[in-house]
Amino acid sequence: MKSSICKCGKIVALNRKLCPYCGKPMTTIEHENEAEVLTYTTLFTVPEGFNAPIFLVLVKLENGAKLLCESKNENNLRIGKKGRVIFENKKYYFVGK
Amino acid sequence: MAGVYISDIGMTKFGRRKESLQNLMYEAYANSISGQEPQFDAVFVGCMNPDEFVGDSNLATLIVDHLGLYQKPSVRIDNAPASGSAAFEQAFFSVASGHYKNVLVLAGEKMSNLPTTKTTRILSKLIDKYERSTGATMPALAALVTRRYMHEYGLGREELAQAAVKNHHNGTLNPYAQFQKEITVEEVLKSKMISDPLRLYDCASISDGACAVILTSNKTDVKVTGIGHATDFLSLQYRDSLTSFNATKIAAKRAYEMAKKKPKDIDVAEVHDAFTILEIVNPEDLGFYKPGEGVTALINGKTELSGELPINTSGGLKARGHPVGATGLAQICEIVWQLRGEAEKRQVKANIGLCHNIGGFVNNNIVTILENC
Repeated sequence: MKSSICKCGKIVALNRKLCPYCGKPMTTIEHENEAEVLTYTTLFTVPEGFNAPIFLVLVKLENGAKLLCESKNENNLRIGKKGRVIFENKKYYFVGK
Repeated sequence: MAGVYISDIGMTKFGRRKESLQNLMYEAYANSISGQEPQFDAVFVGCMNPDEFVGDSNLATLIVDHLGLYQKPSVRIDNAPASGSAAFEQAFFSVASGHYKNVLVLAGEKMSNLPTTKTTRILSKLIDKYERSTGATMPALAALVTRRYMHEYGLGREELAQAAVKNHHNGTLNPYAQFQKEITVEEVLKSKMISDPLRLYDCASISDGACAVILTSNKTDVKVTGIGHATDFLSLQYRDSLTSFNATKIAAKRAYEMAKKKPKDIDVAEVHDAFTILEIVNPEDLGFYKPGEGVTALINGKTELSGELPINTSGGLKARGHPVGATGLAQICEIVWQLRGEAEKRQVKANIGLCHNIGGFVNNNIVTILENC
């Protein structure tokens, strides 16, 4: 799992060149994939080119950065649920413990 | 700085309209003319995405050509669903600077001619590229916020539906509204699920329509006293809070400071209720209510027509309809009608009004304050 860290102290998920908070260059760091659910939704009306339903989960990574990812099903999704983020078929998925 | 006042205003009925975008803008313009044909120095056209919705670009020239206003300077302003208020803002600066004395602001959008999945895809381009790669839509982001707000403040699903019920009631009193029928909480809760927990009746509609406003340096009965504008991160992932939006808070602070007013001075407000949750969060971010108390204000009737602070007397985006580029200017029209005592069956007592228009997913917001003078 990768995040980007800035000298200003902010951390954002994934690779990002410039810090969204101060505009300075960011450094990529590797970390564990532990995550906690902040909120989630099941989307039924999807844009052209997508198949419904899509299970969207906004998680907080262990370093505090947030990441929007998907879930393979809606079973047991709840706010505060702990799990991990996996990367599969070019997508990030939340998998609950 | 020159004082900037509002003279003539007009709009079309919003809804699924057969007319072209330029004919809707002409209709709004024609509806605005109250006496002799006005003279103005420039035309500001607010429209979010004519390129994809109707297949036209160079809209500023198309409109002056269509309205017989050629030779006048004209520019199109795209600021996502805050295009209408952004065009108004730029027009305001042009008069305040003294460069122009009278300017025409037109704002409109035509969206209903495309299939919903295509419209949804176009609107999803407002979202950060990574976030939309998941399939996330505007309603999906609003659903994420809704669920988090329910968790933090104990908002109930039936309580949330009250926002749609209230605005549909106001819409029944507005001849320009797309929807002029009452709805019940039960109907909201039975409507099609869009993105859990948000249902169809929690979301503003796909709509067509246009508005026209003339700004002038000549004194009239309504003055523009405050404009505040602020942005936030494109991505939801970078926001500090999921239940409050900085772009609204900062834009409001700037507008209040410019107008030398406080939230308690506002008599009537149009806020950007693209989703029912925003009818609760926006009044909190605008300083009308404390965090978590927007819902109490709603269910206790404080924001209905007879309440202490009527919100969305027009029916809001929910019932008036949401032709994205037109919405910001439609809010201005409603507040001007309220201040002039011309809002007919939905009239409230007001001398100072506020408009709050959101661009993107709550990340490019404009707050405008208008006053009787």
